[in-house]
Amino acid sequence: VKAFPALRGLHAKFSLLVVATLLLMLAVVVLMLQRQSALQREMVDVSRASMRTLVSDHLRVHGEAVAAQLAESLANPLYYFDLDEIDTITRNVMRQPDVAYVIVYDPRGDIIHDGAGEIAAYSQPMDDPLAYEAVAAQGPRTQWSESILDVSSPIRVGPQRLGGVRVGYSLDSVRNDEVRATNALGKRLREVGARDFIGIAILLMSLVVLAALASLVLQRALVRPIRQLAGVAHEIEAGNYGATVPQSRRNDEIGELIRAFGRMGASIVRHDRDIRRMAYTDALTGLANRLAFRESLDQRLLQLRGVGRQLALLFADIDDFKRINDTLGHDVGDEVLLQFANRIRDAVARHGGAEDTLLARFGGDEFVMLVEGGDQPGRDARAVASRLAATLVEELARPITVNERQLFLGTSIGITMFPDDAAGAAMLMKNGDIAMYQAKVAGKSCYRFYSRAMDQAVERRVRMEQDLRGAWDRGELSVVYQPILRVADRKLVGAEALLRWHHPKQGVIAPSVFIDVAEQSGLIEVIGPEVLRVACREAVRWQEDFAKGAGMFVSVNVSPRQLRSGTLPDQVAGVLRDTGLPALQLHLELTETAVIGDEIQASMLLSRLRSTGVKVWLDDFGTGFSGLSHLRRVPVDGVKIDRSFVADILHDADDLALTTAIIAMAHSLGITVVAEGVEKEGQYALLRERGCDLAQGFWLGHPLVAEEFVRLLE
Amino acid sequence: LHAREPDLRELPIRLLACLLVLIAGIAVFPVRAANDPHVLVLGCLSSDPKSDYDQLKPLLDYVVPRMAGVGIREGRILMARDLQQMGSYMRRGRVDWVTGSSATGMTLQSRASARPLLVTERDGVARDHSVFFVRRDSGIATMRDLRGRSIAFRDQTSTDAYFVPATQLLEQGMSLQRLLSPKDHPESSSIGFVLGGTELNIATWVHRRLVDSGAMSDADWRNPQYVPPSFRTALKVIGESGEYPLAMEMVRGDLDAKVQARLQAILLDAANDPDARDALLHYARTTRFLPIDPATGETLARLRAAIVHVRAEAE
Repeated sequence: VKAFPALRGLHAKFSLLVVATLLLMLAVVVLMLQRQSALQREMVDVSRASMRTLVSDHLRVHGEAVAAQLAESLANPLYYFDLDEIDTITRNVMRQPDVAYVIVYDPRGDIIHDGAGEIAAYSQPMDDPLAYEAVAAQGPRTQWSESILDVSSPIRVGPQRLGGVRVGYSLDSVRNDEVRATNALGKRLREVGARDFIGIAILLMSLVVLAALASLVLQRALVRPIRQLAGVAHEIEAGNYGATVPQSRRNDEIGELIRAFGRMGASIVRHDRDIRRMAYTDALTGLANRLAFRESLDQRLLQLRGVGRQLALLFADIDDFKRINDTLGHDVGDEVLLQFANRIRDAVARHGGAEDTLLARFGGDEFVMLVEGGDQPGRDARAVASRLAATLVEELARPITVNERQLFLGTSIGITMFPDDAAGAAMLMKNGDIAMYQAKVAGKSCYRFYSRAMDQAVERRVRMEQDLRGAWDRGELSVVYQPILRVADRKLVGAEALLRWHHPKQGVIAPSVFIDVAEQSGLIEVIGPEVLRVACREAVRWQEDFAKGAGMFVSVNVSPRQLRSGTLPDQVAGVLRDTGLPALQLHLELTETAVIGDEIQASMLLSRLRSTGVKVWLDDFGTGFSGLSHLRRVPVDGVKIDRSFVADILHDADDLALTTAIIAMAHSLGITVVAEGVEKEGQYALLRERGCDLAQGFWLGHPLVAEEFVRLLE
Repeated sequence: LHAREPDLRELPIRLLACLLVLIAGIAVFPVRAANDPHVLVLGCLSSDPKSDYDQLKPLLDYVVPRMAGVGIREGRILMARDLQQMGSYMRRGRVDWVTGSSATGMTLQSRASARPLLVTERDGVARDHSVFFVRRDSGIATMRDLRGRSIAFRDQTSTDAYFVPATQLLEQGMSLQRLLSPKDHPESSSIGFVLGGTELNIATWVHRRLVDSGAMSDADWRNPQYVPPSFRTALKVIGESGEYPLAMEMVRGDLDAKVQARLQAILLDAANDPDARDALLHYARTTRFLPIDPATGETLARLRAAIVHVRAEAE
């Protein structure tokens, strides 16, 4: 679990908050205590002042009353100057508490009696600071000094002022009382304050304890589970989806979080499984995919290295599958693939033997198998692979029914051996690919073991493709014309335009070789239109330059790829327009396989071509497996009986019968029949006998370059 | 106050105090305008100058403005504690006019040559007589039965409760002997007298048998404040004196005649003057002043003689 920096953890933040709160409270308490202390002092001061006022007022009132009473009672004795009586009265007053002095004085302020008994100060003027005012005052007078309250009152008889009396009260005891009371109050207040302080201290301590408890609870209830979850999350992040999420029975939000986290973990595990399955499985067929196969292969090779065991890699590719997708749609293609996959699976189950035979689909129409041989004789890898390949070729050649339609497909299989052919997986797979390719080259629907020679063949083919590219522009390709004669009178009626390649180094290369390369590589789509244009231009020249050439047609081969591109009718129309060749004098030859994939589209294209007047012939008729039924559905103007039939027509009764039947049937459909590969007079004679319309062949005329062919017309 | 023995420490003080009293009379309260013919000084015997002052002042204030014609511009009051002091004031001309009981007036006449000016009627009574009373169950029937018995008087300045009854007893041939306490007993040949200080004391002492008899004015005898009704039922009067004026206004013997005449006239008219009403009421509840007719003069003369007699016999 990540250790958070000091002040960023949840717990640290909470603790900080708590400490801040406590400090704030402490500050408030200290402030309060200070205020309380100040309040106490203030209270003591105020009460001292009010006490002083109270006591002073009381003393003053009392003193004034005493002075007034004294002045009253002293009036008569003073009138008669009865010092004895004055002495008695003043002594009585002197006996009262706090009375410091009693002075009776005459109107001038001279002392008559000072209460001391001896009248030591008799007739002396009063010289204390308060005397002047007391004497000068017309009525009762109260004066304060630091230690004395002096109350004076004049003594009168009627309006006559006889003198006055002053009573001095000592403030010492008052002050003492005041100090005592103030001290008592202060003490009491301090006691109360101390009690409050203890209470507050206890309260604060409780708060501290409470905060510590809250911190502990937070740590246990919140921080710890969150850290645990964070730990699990880190593990999941690192790829360990199986990390155990802690269980919780808690009913609160944290419990819910932990449980949700657990569910999330399980969900992630599930998703991971699904994703892995999707990553390693072919969605359509459920077989392992390229990635899974590649990993297994690597693993298997690693295990077998040095053990001496053999492995066989089978690389199967459905022949012409692309045509299915292109012409029948991908749904059909997928259905085909599914059925193929099932057949392959069954075949593997039957012949693969061991359960460790790997089967995978490499996308598209490629299937790959890895077969491990056993120890017993006849069970070695090569033998098993060979048997399995044979079975697959056989199984997959059986027609497939899709949407109540039978499709005929084949499979080409390449086989390569480990460790004989290659030591690494990449090499092994490349070898398998090459072997499969060889099987295709070898005519499809078969299997081939890899050999070193195949490498060279492939290399040659690749180089040829490179050489072919641009060959037209360099003038290496040329068009030759083979005469086509009417069988009945051996009259020259047309010519088939054929492509020749004169390789600068290898010399003339057979059309069967480079046409295939052009077709496979797509170069045919560039070369084809050029050939068409040249041929048409030549045919126009025949018409225009030679009397014999009038009405002669030229026949041009159209490859399946050209037909499939869909632009053929426009191309043809364009060429006819450019060259000025009448449409009737252009014949297009299509192989059966070109139309076999999608008859509907092919029929549509052919119809468009024919509607412009162009004639369409079906080339190599009889070799395809569509048979005669095609003629019914595909609108053609003629068929060319394949040279293999013509070659054996003299010796093979079946071929003759077939040829005869084709001719008869074509005629019955109103279709022209052309025989090619006529090399002997007998053949020609026989064809004429059977009613064949047109024929071509070495016996009738070799392909000629344009200039030579023109000479036939002169 | 003076009952205790003076100690050595106090002795000089007391001597000094006595000396001071004498000085005070002259120095402290000098009537600065002594013998000033423009000042009329009203005198009075008083033990409470402070309150008596207020009684005298209104009448003086009433009189003085009316005497401007005779040169009086200011009035003053001077009080004395006793007859000796008042006599002294009069002799020295410091007091012009004194109000007091008949006995006081006569004493001043004897000692200080004061002249009677007017008889003073108080509460509507100008003249009265004194009565002698005893307990009914005392067995005393006549005043002669008082010989060897005790009698309670008020004080030695009293006219009605001292001089008049004492004179009457002396005139009947009885001798008076002062007793210091009501429990004291006189010689069988004389009548022992004690001073009760107040009329209530006199009545109470008689009622309680502390003394055998008592004497006071008839008006006081009838006053329930002095003689409560419960007492009176147990008491009986056994003798009476002749009538005499209760109070008098005296003037200094050498007072200017014009002043004296003017004063006399004003006082005589005062009873008829509504402005004088309050002043008279304050003046010991005086209702009017009466001139001294010859009969009254005779009565006074007798009283003066009696006082001298009493003083000689009883003191």
